[in-house]
Amino acid sequence: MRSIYYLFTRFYVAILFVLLEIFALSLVFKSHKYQEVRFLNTSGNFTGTVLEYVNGINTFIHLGKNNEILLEENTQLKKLIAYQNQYPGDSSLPRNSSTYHFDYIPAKIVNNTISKSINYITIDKGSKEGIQKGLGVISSNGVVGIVTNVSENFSLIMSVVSVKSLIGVRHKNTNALGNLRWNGEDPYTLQIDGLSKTLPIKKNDTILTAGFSSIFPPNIVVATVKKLEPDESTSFYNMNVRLTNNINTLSYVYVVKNEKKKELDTLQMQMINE
Amino acid sequence: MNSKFLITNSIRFVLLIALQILLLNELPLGRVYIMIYPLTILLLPVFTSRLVVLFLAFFTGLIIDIFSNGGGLHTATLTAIGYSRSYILDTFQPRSGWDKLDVPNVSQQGVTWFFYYSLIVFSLHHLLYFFLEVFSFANFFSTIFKTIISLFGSLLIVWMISLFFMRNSRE
Repeated sequence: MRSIYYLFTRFYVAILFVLLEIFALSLVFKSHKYQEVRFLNTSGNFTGTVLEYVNGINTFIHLGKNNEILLEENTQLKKLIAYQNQYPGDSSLPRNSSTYHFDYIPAKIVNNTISKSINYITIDKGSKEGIQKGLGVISSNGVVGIVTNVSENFSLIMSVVSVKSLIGVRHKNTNALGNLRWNGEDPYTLQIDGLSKTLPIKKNDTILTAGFSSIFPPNIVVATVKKLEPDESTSFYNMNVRLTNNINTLSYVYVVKNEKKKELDTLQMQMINE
Repeated sequence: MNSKFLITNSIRFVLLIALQILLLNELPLGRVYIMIYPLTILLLPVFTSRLVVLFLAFFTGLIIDIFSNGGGLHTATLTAIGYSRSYILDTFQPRSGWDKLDVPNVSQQGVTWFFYYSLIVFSLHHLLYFFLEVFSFANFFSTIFKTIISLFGSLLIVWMISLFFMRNSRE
């Protein structure tokens, strides 16, 4: 007993260090294993409010650029309305297609990082506005990520520029399907795998969302091909792409809510189970 | 003297943490991640109790983690730095040994001394942080590269801050 007491008085700093380190490392391991389990995050009310206040400055700096993006988006939407009015029966238009029922919740970015291996974006809308875990997030000209944490007034999005992010995409001209992921190196260059090297893919080709999942609406422009070369050892391309939106300077995003997501998911689960 | 130490150290903690969270975390520098918050632990007076240093390191890391979605990374690395600080200071002690009121900063210990001290501590911190972040040795050289460019950025800012405050304290 005395020797234990002696050990403790002699090494109490070391013992405490080990205990604190075990606690910290367990947090790290958990956040590596389950990306949605983040005990420490900026979607909390206090942290969210502080960062929201600070981000006012950031928003102001990018005001001109954001106006431009919104103007561009407006023009495109106006064109779409004009087209719809001209050809009201066209079934390829989202309005007439019965499979997709997407609702969009606009939100403002409160905090944003790009320099880590898993990057998170905090937005100023939470469960109060109907945001749930697992919803997709897009900007006016591309995809942004998937909601991983929700509090009452804020939510956390895992950005596509994360090593754990995986999004189904489609090559526009050939309709071939692939996966968009990031290798953790250059945050402005993402990778697509699963596209066969027999396909006629060229530089600067457009990549769209696949639209088979219930998370993202189909046919959203995601990226353009930057560099591609056939992989020697497999039958696929090694492909680097550049996102169409600059995640870094975004100020506003849309959270995509699919009203039929639950129905679709349960149906697909049933098929898998049978 | 004690209360003066307490006040200057508290102000430094708040300012450095604010600078890290509000400015450096937001910088759009691609894969460079500038971290200067270990300076809070680095500049504590030499004879601060090891237990206090350890707890301060732990809670500073926790605050940084909460505000930057670190998921425990900053806590784990800074706690390790807080623990190893006394050993680093031992190897770096002046020939006459440490004095009661010594502070390991530029004004007291000189530019060269602080250069090596900060280089060692920040290298250790950045290496730990980036390897814990990717959690594998698979992309070893890419991680090393990331560590080195981030280290360069962090140290540049740390030395700028230190030199700026050195002149003030001599007046």
